[in-house]
Amino acid sequence: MDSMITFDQVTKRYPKSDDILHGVSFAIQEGEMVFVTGRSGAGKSTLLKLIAAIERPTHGTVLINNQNVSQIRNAAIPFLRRKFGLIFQDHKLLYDRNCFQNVLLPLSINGITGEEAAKRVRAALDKVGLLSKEKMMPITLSGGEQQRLAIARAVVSRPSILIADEPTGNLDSTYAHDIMRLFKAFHQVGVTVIVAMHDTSNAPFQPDQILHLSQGRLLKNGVSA
Amino acid sequence: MKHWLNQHVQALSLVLGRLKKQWLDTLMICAVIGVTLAIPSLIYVIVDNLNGLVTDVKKDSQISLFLNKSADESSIQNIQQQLTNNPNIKHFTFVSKENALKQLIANSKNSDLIASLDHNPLPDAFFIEPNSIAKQDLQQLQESLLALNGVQDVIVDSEWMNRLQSLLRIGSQAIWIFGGLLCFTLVAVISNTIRMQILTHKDEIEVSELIGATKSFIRRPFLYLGTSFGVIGGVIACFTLWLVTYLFNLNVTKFAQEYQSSFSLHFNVFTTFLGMLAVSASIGWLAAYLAITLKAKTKY
Repeated sequence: MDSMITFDQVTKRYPKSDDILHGVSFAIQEGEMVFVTGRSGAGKSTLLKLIAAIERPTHGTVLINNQNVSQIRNAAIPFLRRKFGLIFQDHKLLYDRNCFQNVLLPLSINGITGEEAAKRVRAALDKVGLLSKEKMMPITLSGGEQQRLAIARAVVSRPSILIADEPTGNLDSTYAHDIMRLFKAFHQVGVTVIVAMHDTSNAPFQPDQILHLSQGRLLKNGVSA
Repeated sequence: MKHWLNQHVQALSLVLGRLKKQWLDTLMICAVIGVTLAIPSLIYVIVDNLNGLVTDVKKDSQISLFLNKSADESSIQNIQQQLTNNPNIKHFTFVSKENALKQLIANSKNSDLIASLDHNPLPDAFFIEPNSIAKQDLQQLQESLLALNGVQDVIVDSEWMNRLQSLLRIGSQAIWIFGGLLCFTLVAVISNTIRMQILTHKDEIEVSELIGATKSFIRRPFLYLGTSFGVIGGVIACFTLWLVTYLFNLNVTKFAQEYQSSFSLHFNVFTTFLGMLAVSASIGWLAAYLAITLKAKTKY
């Protein structure tokens, strides 16, 4: 079976820097739940950026649904990214728009408007427990609620891959467990979920695969115990 | 098609919302655009009207042909015959020196003084209306008339009009240069405003890029913003032009009436306003395009 995401001897180096990732190889199947772990600076964010085609590899091959990221035209990158739901540690919400408008943005980009868009936005907000706060501005929400809002924005366009970069990094354990349970729920309906985190000790469940990075190298690649 | 149209409608409504929200800033930038565009347009209208006036006056211009004082009846008849046969002459009238003196006395405030002169100082004269008012044709006709036997002098009345028309021609060219410079200034001003807007919406652009927005999706609101600045500025320019022309005409019409003229500033409202709106919208679009293109090179 073809993998959904394949890294083959991938090296990433930024100008005037050492290798951030070095010779990384792994494969992720469709519908898997994957944790990417490692200390700060281990290369977790860079790995996620390569999956989301935000960066391109310096050497090696990154395949997303058998598409080689290095060979994709710049104009086609946005269409590839629409297959992903991206969640960031700092949420990257738009603070001049209310919750509803924040979640609406990916649908606007896809040209979905009107009743259909409103229905999908409310469904996404409902899924993360923020339906009653749709008219509130993000700044009035707690850290955990802001992260849930970011998740609603990531899933509203029904992506096949959910990528989260340290989504619980700034949250206390209660909020962190809430967020992780949301990821589990999406995984259970067939979404491929890739979550970068410092360590997995606080995770309320075990993933299908853990990619452990240290100084840009993949130390552990396989099904967790 | 529906998808494409949806995105345009979204971008336009987003921009109109922002313009409404920041109405004072919008009004200020649009007023700058409007007044800047109105200035060369107004000068153009003035020069265009003066050109029309000069052409009209030139059409009415005539050549005055003065005879020698010693010219007798047979010389006059001979000249009259030659004028009749000349194909370059449309029409002419003869005013004898006696009639000229009578008219002078009748029209002069010092009629007693003129009547007391012991001899008639005026010559017999022909007043000629030429077929062509082109400078070269008039010059040729003047030379041919001077060569006639018994002719003392030939004066082309429209000479000063030619000089004025040459000046107006230079003025017209100057307007295009001046207008071009002002358009360049407008592009710079609007472009700078759009750059500020891009900085204000930097987070939105970054997030949109990350979640799959195409370049055209990101550019679209800014292009609409620049074009909106241009269109609203154009409307202000049209109104300014109309208002200034109206106020100007209130005084100019009275002044012209004193000289038995019906001169007033006028222009084709539809084509002028349409042209101004097209130019201002294009300037706004171009400025926004330049701003977003240059900013995209530095990753916003």
